[in-house]
Amino acid sequence: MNSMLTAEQLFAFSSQAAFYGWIILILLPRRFKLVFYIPQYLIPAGLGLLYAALILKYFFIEPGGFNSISSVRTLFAHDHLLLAGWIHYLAFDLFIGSWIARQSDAIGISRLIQAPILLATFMFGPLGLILFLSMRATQYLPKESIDV
Amino acid sequence: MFKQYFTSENGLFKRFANTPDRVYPRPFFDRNNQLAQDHISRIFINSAFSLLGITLILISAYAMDYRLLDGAPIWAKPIKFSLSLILHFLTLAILCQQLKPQQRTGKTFTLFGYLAVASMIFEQLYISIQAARGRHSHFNGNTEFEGLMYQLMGLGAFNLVLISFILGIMIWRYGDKNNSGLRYGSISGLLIGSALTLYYAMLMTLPSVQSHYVGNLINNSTIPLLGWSREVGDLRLPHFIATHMMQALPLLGLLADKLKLSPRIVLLCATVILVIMSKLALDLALAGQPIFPT
Repeated sequence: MNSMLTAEQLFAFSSQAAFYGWIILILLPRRFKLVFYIPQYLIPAGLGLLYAALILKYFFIEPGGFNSISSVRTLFAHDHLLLAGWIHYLAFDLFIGSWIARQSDAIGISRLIQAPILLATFMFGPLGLILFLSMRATQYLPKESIDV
Repeated sequence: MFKQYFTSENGLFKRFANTPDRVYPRPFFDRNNQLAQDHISRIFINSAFSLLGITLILISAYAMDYRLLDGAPIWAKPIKFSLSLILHFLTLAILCQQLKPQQRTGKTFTLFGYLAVASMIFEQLYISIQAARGRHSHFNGNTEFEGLMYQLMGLGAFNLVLISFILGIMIWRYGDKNNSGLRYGSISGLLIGSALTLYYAMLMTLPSVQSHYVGNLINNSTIPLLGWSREVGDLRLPHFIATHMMQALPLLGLLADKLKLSPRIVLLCATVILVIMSKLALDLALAGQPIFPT
């Protein structure tokens, strides 16, 4: 991998992929299942594979670990592992964003209100998740339930 | 092949249509299903709920971030805005139930309703981000961008009171003419509250004022929670009274219904009292006097 693409190039490539996923999620209509599968499955899975390759190649040979801030800092001092950490964000945020979008459609939240929630998930993942969860927690399903 | 996407029955505009066959989740306080399930009622309710989430996030920031702006915690302003917008959208959602479904979901109300929701998102986002950056959102022309955003916020605020004003007119013209206190309270609260809010807000934006204070601050003592000054005139006080007439008068109308009082007399008195109160608060603020001096 290091002979083909630098960490910088991989970063640009994966950020772009995630960005297109978010554009699809926020702006495009949801009626076409295949289009919706791109941000929900295709891009997170692709990013996941890239993450797997990076982590398997570098994690076990580079110094650092997960048990303290300083060892995490040591880990992230390596460019490819820092990149892997970033891809972790991208993939999980996009997948959670798609989940939020699908759940929001199911409970009938307008796309206008979904947009800032998805934007928050895009920029600062957990903020969007909190926004959506608190919205869902304040509503209850009547007895004649709908398919989620 | 594209024609199907532009017909209102089954296409791009499908979500604007009523879908009575679908059952949506209901707000936790609506156990008796008194709120309709059309897109307008739901977008107002969901606006309030999304603001509830925003408030939650802002309060956690408030708890850990001790930065000050003008002597007040920087997160106080976005929290006050989100709380007040929750009230605004809950009020809209509840009061618009007095309209018939076809008027509530008609083109005019849908357009201005969506405009108001978009403005709410814009205002709340910008105020929160400016707070996070430790900068002013209102009365800020320091940079070209902030000056532009300040003007756009004026437009957004206008959209927010426009929808309540329109709702007042629509209840007046198309609502069930049952002479109840709720009806009179909604009409007077929405119409007068919106108009006065706009007027008092515009007074602060005059080039000669450009602040909500009248006078020079010394040690900046304020009323807890509401943050009004106890040293100088504060133009937010009349704004507060005017804005919350939108909640106070319909509630008073409901109370009059419950106690079997004459809604006309109760609401006429209450409206006059509140308008005079806001005017007195305005005069006091313009004279540079605090409402609760130290």
